[in-house]
Amino acid sequence: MAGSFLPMRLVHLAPLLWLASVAPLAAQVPSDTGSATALSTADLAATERLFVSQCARCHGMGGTGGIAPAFRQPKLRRAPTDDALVQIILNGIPGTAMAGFWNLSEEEAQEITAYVRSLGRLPPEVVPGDPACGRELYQKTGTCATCHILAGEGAGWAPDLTDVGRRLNAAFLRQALVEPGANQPVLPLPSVHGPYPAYLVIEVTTGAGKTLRGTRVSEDDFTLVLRADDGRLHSLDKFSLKGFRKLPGQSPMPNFASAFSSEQLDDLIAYLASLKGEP
Amino acid sequence: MRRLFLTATLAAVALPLLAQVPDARLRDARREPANWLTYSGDFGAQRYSPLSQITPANVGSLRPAWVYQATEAGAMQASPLVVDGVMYLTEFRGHVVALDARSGRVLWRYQQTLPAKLLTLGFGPTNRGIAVLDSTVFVGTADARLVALDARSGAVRWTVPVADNALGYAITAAPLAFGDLVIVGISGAEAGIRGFLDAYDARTGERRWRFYTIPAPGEPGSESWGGDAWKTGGGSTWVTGSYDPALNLVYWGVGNPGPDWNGDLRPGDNLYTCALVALDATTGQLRWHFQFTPHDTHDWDASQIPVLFDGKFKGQPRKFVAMANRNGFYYLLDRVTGEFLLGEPYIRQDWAEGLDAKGRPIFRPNIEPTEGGTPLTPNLHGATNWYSPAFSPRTGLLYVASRQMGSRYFKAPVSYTPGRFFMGGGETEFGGDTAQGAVQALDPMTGKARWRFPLFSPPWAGLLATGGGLVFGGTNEGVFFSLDAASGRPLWHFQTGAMIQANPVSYAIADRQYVAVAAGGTLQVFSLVEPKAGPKP
Repeated sequence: MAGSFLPMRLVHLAPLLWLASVAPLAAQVPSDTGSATALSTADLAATERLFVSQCARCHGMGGTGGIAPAFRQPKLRRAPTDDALVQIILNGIPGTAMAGFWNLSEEEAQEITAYVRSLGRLPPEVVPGDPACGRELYQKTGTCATCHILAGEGAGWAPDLTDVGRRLNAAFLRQALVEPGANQPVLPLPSVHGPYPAYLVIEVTTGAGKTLRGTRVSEDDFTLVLRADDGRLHSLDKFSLKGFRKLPGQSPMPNFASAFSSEQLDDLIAYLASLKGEP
Repeated sequence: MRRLFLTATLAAVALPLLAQVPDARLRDARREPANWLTYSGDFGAQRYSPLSQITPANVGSLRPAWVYQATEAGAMQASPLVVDGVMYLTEFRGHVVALDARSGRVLWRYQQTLPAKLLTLGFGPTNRGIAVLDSTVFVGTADARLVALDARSGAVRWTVPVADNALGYAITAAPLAFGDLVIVGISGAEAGIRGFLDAYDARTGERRWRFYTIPAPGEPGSESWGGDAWKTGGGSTWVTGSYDPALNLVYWGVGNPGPDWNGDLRPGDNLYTCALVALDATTGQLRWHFQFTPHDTHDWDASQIPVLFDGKFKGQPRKFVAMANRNGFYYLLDRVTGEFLLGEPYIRQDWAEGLDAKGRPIFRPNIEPTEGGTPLTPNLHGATNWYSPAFSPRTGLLYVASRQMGSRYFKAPVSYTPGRFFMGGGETEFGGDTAQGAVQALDPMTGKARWRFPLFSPPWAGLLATGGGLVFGGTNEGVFFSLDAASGRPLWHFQTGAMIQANPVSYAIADRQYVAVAAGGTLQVFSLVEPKAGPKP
């Protein structure tokens, strides 16, 4: 079956299995269990497999983060309590890419919760670089804030960076800076055919023969809403267009690989990784 | 004004008489196009409305007539029924609602009570529709019961257990009612159930027969299973089938074997999974079967609509059953004998070289899921899925909403625990902008596409063909659209505001044709702005 729908997410995510080195991670998990649900070592291995199959695709192996937040933090903003986390696992977070996992029993959600809490007790990721220097770079290069918003400052059409350190790990941030086209961000919109790329660059020729290039804000079979390079929105009837070209691998984000020294990149990443938003 | 008054009067008169739907009316459903009496519109499951008021010339002025907002949160996947001015609809979690089909006003609502501990492994507590017979409405429940409601009030006539939800059995499909029987399919192959198809006495709820889709040792077909694998062999019957009253045969698609992706535990062809079965409607005895995907390891259920129509094949008159299958091939069979007549791929698939003379796939090497992952097309959701195709007797074309998407299939060790997933792997799909969909008009006699309308993403909505020469469909992005049935040219579209994962229907009240489709938690109903623009339906 499994075609039946939404919980499909299970099936999308069921993939990675336990291919990766799961055992070493299990060994790292502290044995003290302050969490409401205690896990024996055997349970832990089973739960870890569940985590790998259901959560790791977005949250990273061992909860190190990816397109979704890392779990190696003592407090999870949206899940102050274990019950809150269980509810998020089962019902999702409206308005985000986090869908509910109907395929999991409440018991399994509790087991995953205990596992996620155990990840929160691991030492945080070590990021080389000086956040203070990174902050200066962010503010003084002058280009970041022309697209990004941070604590209410700057332009808001590119991703909000206010709590980016809570959502994305250092490796992801580095790739975004030095290889911006490689890791296409995904829209926090419900999607039923896998992640829906955000900020996809599209070039169109209008019925009047004008060429427009910009990033996709929204698209279906009949409509394309494009944010042109000048920042203006264009609502286009696709059937009236003379040309239409998707340019995957391109990004409106400039490549900073050569703009910064490797030390400066470390500093900037350290700064971004330190951005946790409101406590 | 006069017309409006007349309509209102008719509706007022019609209401007390509603839902007297004897078997004779269901058999001749096509003769009363104002109604939509079965899940697929008629026993042949063509999802075709002869109504012709809305045409390619005037569909541009199709506008919302009314919207029903479900009380239960969650997307509606149901295909409504319309009987003499009353619409019957199921919401998410299987609540049933009766609406005035002209205005959308609620007449009654049956609140489904589901246990707090509910198993719907591999799907949610969705519900795809109901059946009506005489003055009773039948609905299956997510905890695997069958409920009969009085069509006039929604009061319960009887409720019977069909199977044990604690083992993963559930009902999502609309039942099929005819004669004095209600046929009910079951879901749950991802939990390692042993699938079946049941028939119940429509008056009493007593079970008349059960056909197990997985034969027990000693029964024909049991040689296609190894050891005890048959006990957890899957084979759900989760999409409503079709019925030929003249042959007294029920046609029903059977789902995937269990476990899904690890076939090591079940050597053999695994009958009757991924097959079409033709059953004697009176006894439930198997008349014939045709297996599309022997020993499936990619979750390619044959849970599509078996469409019935008649015609000539190589000059000989035949009774056909056609299925655009999840595995990527279109099949044409003789529905009297089950003889394979034709099979053609209708998407770009890469798992089979083709079909042999008997319709059995010629497998390519190295297509099995592996620990490291095997890329293959189609993905587990297939070239199409549970949502309906449409067949127009007017154009002679079969319209299919198809999916072009691959994935990487994984295999994992698996053992059976009652009430838990029993799948043995998974997949990572190649989604985003690399995946597409299409509405295709297949020539049913060749399997070749006459035209193809591309879709932005692989769809989850079915199609409706109409006597006005239109095909209606929906998209993941929420667009309800109409195409010219002859050419595939897009003629009209409307943003409904939510993903469409349901099948459209059409009906008429007084002199007005309506088209209805569920989108998200709403049912949206459309009619022409100016009904005088077209001929009477």
